[in-house]
Amino acid sequence: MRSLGAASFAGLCLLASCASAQQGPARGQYCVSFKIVGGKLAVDHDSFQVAPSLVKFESAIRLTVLQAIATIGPLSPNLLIASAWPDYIGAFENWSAADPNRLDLGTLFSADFLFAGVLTQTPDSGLILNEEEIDPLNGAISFSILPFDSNAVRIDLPAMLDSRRRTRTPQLRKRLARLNGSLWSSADIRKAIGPLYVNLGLTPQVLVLPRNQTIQIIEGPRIASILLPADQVPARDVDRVLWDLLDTGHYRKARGKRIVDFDRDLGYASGDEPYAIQYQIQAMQLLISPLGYNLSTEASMRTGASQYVDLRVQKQAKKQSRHVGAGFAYKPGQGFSALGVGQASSVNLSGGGPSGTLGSGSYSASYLGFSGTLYTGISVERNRVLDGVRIDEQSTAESATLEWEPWRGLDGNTVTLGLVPSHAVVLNQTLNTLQPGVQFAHNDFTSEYPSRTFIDPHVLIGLGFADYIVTANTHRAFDHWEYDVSGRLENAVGNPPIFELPSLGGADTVRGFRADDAIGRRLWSLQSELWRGLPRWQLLKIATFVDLGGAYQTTGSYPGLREGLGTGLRLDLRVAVLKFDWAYGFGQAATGGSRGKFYFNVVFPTH
Amino acid sequence: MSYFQLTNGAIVYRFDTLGGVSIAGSAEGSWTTNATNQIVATLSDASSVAFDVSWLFNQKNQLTIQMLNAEIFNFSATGIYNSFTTRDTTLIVQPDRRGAFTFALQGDWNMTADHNLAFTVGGFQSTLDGFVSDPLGRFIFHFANKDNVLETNVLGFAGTWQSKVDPSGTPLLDFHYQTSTGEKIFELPKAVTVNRSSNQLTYTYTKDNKNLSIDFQGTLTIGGDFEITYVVQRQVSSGGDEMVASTTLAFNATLTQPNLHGDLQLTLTKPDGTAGPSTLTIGGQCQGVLGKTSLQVGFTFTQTFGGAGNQITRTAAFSGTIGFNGGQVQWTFSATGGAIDLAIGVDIKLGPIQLDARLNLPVDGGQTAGVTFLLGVSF
Repeated sequence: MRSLGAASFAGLCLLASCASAQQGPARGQYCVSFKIVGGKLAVDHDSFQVAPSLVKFESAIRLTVLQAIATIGPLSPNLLIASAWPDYIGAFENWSAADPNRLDLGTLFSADFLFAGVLTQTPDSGLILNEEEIDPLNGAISFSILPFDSNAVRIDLPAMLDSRRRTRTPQLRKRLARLNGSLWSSADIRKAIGPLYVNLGLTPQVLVLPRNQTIQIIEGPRIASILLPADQVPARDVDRVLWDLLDTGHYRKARGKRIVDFDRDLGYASGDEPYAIQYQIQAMQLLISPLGYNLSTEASMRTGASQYVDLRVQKQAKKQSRHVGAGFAYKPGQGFSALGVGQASSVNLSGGGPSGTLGSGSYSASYLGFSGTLYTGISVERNRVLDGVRIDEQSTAESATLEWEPWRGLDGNTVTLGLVPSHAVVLNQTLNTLQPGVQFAHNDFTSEYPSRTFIDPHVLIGLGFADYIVTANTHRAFDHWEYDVSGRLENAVGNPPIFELPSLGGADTVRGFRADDAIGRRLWSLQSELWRGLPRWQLLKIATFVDLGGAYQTTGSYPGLREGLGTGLRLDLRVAVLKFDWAYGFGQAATGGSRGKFYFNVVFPTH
Repeated sequence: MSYFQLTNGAIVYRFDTLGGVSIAGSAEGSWTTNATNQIVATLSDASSVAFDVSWLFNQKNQLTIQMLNAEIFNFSATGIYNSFTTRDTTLIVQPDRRGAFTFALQGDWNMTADHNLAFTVGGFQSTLDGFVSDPLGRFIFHFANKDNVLETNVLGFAGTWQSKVDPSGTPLLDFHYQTSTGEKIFELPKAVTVNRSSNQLTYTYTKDNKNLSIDFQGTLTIGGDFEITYVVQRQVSSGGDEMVASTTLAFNATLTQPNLHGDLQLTLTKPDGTAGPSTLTIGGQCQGVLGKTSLQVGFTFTQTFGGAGNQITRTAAFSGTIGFNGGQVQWTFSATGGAIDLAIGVDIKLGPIQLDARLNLPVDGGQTAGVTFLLGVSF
């Protein structure tokens, strides 16, 4: 048992009451005595006893209490009078004594009746009603004023293992630290921790409980199991679907199972199952969609501190998945091109013009970590500038892509080995090439500052030449800012045809230039971007960027450094990013035209 | 200043309500109480004298001192405003709120069937006529001086809530608190219910024409077998001391209501597993969902807590099967075997056979129909 607090005698001296009610050095006190106006409570006198650092909040506190008191209705429907408190006591007691069903004033003037709403509803302002010091004899109440302290606040994460809490709690305290010294504010607290959960892709349920100095957070629903019903997923597809939905280690444990329980089958600790993150589920959906399946979430029978959901795989509504799409592309100096795509199961047909793919067809197949694609198509790239000559590069090509993904980690970390033999006729020259390569993807989506990194080294080998190419990208999100860095290295040896030489300029290398503004045997480029989300719409981000690049041993263009400065918009849909940029280029360009150029690009992050 | 007198031998000691002791009109020291509730006068020469007295609250909730079954002093009789609080199991008495003097009384507490508190000191039991009530789920007892009902006091007790079900299936709550001699329990005599607007547990009762309640705050979950689990939130006093530690309450229940419209009414089961007379109604919405192997019923409910934006929304899933029985579509719950009727055209709509086998059910005449709509959800 605990003392509810020291008693006060507010009617004698309000200031003395505030002094005796002091609960601790960090808390201030606000005392109010009432009179009656129109039968309702109205503030007669008030006084503060607060540390100097809290004086600035006095007007806000006074306003909050006035608003809370204003929500309290008349104490008696028959006593709509104006009166000093001592006079009102007698009138009320006479009124209540006339009917045994009426509450006496001592009972009414309490945290259980008159001030119940103030007790439970006003903590958002950090004002704690001292319910044990409510004084009906003198018509007075008092509040403790609770300044926020991120180190003292109790962060309650009931749906999380202790080991996870030890990591998460400091991350939350760090973000709450900027509120130190202010009054508790539910809105400010939610705003402070919001960016962390946006980065994690979670939509937490947050309870802000100043009286307990507690913030309780249930971070999001967790996945209890994956379901592959027999009438939805034939036996031959069970492993294929599980391969796409699980990382390699867990796939081995789950192979052949139609109900994959994350605790029982995959060894997750109860309460530590993965979160059901919407964009990750969308990414899973994209992976299994070519197999003809949909993924849906439904409430699970499992209960716990978190909401649990099951992921259910079901056949797509139509027997075969068919998709039709259309789009356009713009490349400075090369104009617009339109593209239409039709997909039926594993067959993909596309056509467009006047630039880009004129017509193509492909067939894809995959099994577990293996995939293959056969492709044939005709394309044209307009207005290439090769050795100072503008030319439309026409090509017909056939290729086969073979890929093997021997390993994939929990966050979508992957290693993929690829081999692309191809036969093409480009500008009336026959080109037979082989393109071996390796792709590494590393994602860290559970970090407070999630990141993704992608490295793709490969080599294009043809008769008498080879082009060594390494592309890389890394992206990291902080609470308000994100950076995105892309790089490219190319080194061509032997005697490659000019249209296969590394080309500098454009959205993939140095913006502010168009493609082919420098063509050489050696090329490097670095694109550095800073993104910041718009306050009201986090999906839309403003970007500023600096591009650097150089081409050497050039043909028909000047060697050396090029720079591009620019700005743009990003529509970040997580599974795809639409980029609209403007950039100005500094340095020698092989082509004429304005140095200020627009770009429109779509990027698919690695997951 | 009020006072009372006690005699030791030939000496008459006068004790005042501000803690002073005088002899023959001369201030001689101070007084307090000891662990056995004796009044102890400590004189200026450091000597002390102890007096055996009895402590009783009279029927007006006024503290009195008794000797030889006769009242020798009433702390409220002279119009001074007393204050009573609790510290651990000890009653702290402040005879005059304007003064700083307090003394302690050690005793045992019990809750009576009419929600009064019995306080036993030195074998003498008195009853405080008041009520237990709190909007935050703490065990707080309110009482007033019946000669002046504006002289109110609240006694707070720190402990934990625990649940039980009596043999008739009534859900009950006990408040467990620690004393120097071990754990003691306040047993709330009436059934606990759920406030369907906030979906929080609440204990309500009527006393002396007053509707009173302890409104809890906590997290509610409903299991697939209808077990109700409620994690009581930790609560503190305005000074920050813990008044209620977090505990998990659990009640076994079953579904016996004839339909699934709107709120979920669960019937609590007796210890023997059969349905009892008590129900808990949770505000929310039922809807049909496709489950692992069959259709399920989902129930989505929102809990509200004090303060802006303080809400938790959850969905509970119950598996079961749909079947025809006597021309009536019935939903049979897997967990309990209980069945409820579904109104065709309202709760459920049937059509042609569905591709998804979970949506198909045999109907009369050996035929099969597909479920196209269940509890607000079209399939």
